[in-house]
Amino acid sequence: MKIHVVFYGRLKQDVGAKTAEIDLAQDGLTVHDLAGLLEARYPVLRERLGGVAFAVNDTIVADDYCLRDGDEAALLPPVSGG
Amino acid sequence: MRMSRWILDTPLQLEPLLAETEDPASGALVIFYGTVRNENDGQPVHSMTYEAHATLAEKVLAEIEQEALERFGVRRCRIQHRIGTLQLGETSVLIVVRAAHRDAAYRASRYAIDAIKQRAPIWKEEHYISGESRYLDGVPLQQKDIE
Repeated sequence: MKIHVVFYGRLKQDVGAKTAEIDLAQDGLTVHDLAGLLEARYPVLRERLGGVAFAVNDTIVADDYCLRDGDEAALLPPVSGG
Repeated sequence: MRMSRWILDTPLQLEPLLAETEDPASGALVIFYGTVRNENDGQPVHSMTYEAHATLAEKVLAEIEQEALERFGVRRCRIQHRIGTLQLGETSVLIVVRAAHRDAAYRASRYAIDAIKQRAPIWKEEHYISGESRYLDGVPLQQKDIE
């Protein structure tokens, strides 16, 4: 399965990219699993993901949300609009 | 180029929102502008870059408008937030509330700006006169806020 990952705010700077592609042989990946994969790929995220929300296809989802092939997962750090 | 009812990458304009919300039954009109300030924590600010998860932010701002109508009984509530790089004094957020009476209008306007700061997926990066830039610490989003 393929997941398109988008980093927002300071995460973009931490990771050094706006987007990333996750390509896996197996299905059944949860958001929690995705977070683990991203931490392995970008160690800098380890200290960041605590305050990060995940949005999949424009809806904020819980850790146990099951991703599907082609999903877009956005990492949303603590917000500071206004 | 982004032009939606809620998120824009061009200067925010009051007049179209006043026209859109015109209402003869409203006796109170409260307008809130959030603008780029020239310092933060003692550091002189040069400009500010706002970024949004646009589709999600549009959903959240529309929800906040609806909540303002329902919770405070105001007759109109419109919110616009700008993205991109803004200079000092430029407007980052604009809230227009119309109600029969002033009390509800003031409270709804206050509710809207507070909710935006807590729940809208928008981030700001401050650029300082010194040449440095920094993302501001923010508020973690909660799943229930958006559902």
